[in-house]
Amino acid sequence: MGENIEQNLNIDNYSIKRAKNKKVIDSIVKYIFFVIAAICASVIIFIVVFILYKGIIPFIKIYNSVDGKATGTQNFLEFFSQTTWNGGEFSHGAGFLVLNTLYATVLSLIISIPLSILTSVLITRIAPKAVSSVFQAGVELLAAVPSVIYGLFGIGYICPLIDSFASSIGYSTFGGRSLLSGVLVLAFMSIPTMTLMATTAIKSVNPAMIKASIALGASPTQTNFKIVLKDASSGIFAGIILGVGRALGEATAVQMVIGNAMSGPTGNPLDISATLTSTMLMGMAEAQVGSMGYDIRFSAGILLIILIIVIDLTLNHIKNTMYARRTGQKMKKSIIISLFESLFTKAKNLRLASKGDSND
Amino acid sequence: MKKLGVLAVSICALSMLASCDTNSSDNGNTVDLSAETVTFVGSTSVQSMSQDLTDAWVNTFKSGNKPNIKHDHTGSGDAFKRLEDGTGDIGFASREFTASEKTDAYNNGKICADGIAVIVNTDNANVNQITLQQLRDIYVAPSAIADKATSEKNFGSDYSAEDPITDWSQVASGASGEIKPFTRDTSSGTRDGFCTKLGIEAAKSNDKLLSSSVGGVSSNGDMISSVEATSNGIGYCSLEGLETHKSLKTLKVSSDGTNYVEATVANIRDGSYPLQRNFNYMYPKAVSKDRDEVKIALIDSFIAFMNSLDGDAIVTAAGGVLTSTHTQTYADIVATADWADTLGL
Repeated sequence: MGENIEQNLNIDNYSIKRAKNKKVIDSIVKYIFFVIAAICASVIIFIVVFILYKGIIPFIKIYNSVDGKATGTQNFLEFFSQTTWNGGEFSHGAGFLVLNTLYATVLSLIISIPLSILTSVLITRIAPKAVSSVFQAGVELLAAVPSVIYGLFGIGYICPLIDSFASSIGYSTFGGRSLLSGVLVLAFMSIPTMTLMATTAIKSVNPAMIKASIALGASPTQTNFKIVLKDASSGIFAGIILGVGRALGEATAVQMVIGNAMSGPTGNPLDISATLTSTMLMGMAEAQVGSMGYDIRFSAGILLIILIIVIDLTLNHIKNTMYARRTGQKMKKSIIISLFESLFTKAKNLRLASKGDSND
Repeated sequence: MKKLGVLAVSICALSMLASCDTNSSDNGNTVDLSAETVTFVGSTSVQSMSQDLTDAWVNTFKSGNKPNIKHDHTGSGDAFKRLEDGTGDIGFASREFTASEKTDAYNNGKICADGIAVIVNTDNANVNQITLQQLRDIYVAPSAIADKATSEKNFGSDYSAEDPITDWSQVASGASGEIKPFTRDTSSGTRDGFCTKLGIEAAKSNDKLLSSSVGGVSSNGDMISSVEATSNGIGYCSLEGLETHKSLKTLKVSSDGTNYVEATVANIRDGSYPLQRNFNYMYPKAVSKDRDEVKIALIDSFIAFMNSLDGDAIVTAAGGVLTSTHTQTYADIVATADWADTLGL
C-alpha cells in the first residue's frame, strides 16, 4: 500500500513539473506572438506617419528653386483648386486628380462588379464540375499576375483596339491611350480578386436553404438570384472592397495606358487622363531629392491615403449592415460611424425639441 | 545531434575560409578589378552613348581582370542625386548642371552636343518640315499668350504670339487630322533643352503654359513608342540613340521659315540646326562615400578614356557632335597617368 502511494506521488511530481513547463512555454510563445504582431502593426503606422510627415513639409517649408534663383512654398488652397498638376515649381494642384481617380474607379467597378458576380455564379452554381474547376484555376492564375503585365497587355492590345474603335466613330485619340483604356485595365485587374471572394461566399451559403427553395418550386435562376446572392451578399461585398482597393492603388499599369494628362478633370472617356497614383509615378525618377517636386508626391500620397480610408470605412459600414441584416446579429459599428450617428440623433432631438417649443 | 553540430560548425568555418580575400594591393600582386563595380547613372538620353563608351573602355583591361559595369539611367535629375548618396559613380545629364549641383566634391565637363529631333508618325505623309513658330503654336497654351501682358510675363518681350495650331492642315497642305502633341515630364533634361531653344523657357517647369491637350510621356523610349502608336502624333526626343524606326520620321526644322535644316551631325556642329543641347558628365574628385582608391582610379580612367581620341571616335559614332576634339589616345594617357599604378596598368 505504502509503495503504491509513493509511486503515485512520483507521478504527480513529474506531471506537476511538466504542467509548470507548459505554462512557461505558453507565456513565452504568447509574448513572442505579441511582439511580432506589434512589429507588423507598427510598420503600417510608421509608413502612414512617415508619409504624413514628408507630405506636410511642402506647405510649411520654404524651398529654394532648382536653379537657385527663387524660393516658395506650396499654397494649401491652391493644392486643391488648381487644375494643373505642375503649374510652376512651387504650385501644384491635386484636387482634379482625386476626381479623376474616383471617376476611373467608379467606371471600372461598373464593368467589373457584374462580370465578377456572374462569373462566380457560373463557377459555383451553373457549370458542370469539370468546366468550373478549369474556370476556377484560370481565375486564380489571373489573380496572381503582376500588374505590369496587365499594363503591357493594355499597351499592346487594348490601346490599339480603342484607337481603331475611336477612329471608326470619327474621334482621334493619342494612339488609344485614354481614360477608357485605363478603366478597362483596372477592371481586368480587379475581376479575378472579386470573383474568388464571391465564389467563396457563394459556396458557404447553407445548402439546406437552396434545397428548400427548389423544393418550394423556384427555378434554379430564381434561386440563384433571390436566395444565393442575397445570402452571400456580405462576402461578395468584401470582395468588392478588395477590388476597389486594387483599382484605387494601381500605378504602373495605369500610367502606361492612361495618357498622363497634365490638367483636368477629364470627362470624355476617350480623352487622356491621369490618376493620383499615375501622377505620383510620372517623373519620379527625374525629380531631385529635397526639391518641392519630390516632396509634393508625398502630399499626393496623403490625399490617396485619406481617399482610401474614407472609401473603405463607407464600404465596410455598408458590408456590416448587410451582414447584420442577414444574420440578425447586432451590427458592429466602428467608432467613427457611431460618433456620427450620436451627433445625428442629438441634432434630430434638438430639432424636435425646438419644433415642440414653437408649437406652444 | 552532437555530430550534426560539429558538421554545421565545420561547414561554416570552411566557407568563411573560402571567402577570405587573398588579393590585396599590398602584396604587390595585380589588383583584382573584377571585384569592383562602377555604376553609371543619370540621363536616359545619354544612356546608349554611355553604354558604347563603357563597352569599349572595359575592353582595354586584361581579360579576367575587368571591372564590372552597371548602368542605371533614370533621368538627368538623378545624376547629382545619386553621386551624393553614393549609389552612382559617374553621372550624366542632358542639360547644364545647376548652381546647387556644382559642388566642390565633383568635377564636371561636357561630352558633346546633341540634337533634339522633332518626330512624327510616318502615317502623316505630307508633313516633312516645321518652323519653330509653328512648334510654339502647337505646344503653348492659348491662355498663356492671351494678351501682350501675359505673353510678356511668361516668355519675355521677344515672344510673338500667333493663333494656336490644332490641326495638321494648318502646318502643311494636304495633311489633315487633329494634332496630338507629346511632352516629357517637367524634370526632363530633354524638355529643358526643347523649351529653351524654342524660346519658351518658363514652360520647362510649368505645365500650365503648355496646351491642355498635350499628353505626357515618362522617358525618351516612351516618347518614341507613343509617337509610333499615334498617327497624328508629334513629339521631341534626343537625336543620339534614335535608330531608324519604321513608323517614325524626323522633321526638318527652320528658325525663320525659309531655311529648313535637317537634324544631322554636320548641321548640329555648325549650329544651323536650332534645337540642340549639351551632354554633360560629373564625377567625384576624391575618395568619399564607399568609394575607395581603386574605385576613384577606375573613375579617373574612364573619364580619361572618354576624353581621348578613342572616346571621341565612339561618341561620334553614337551620333554625338563633338565641339572640341582631343589630342591624345587612351594608351598615351595611361602611360603618364598616376592612377595607372593604382590599377596595375
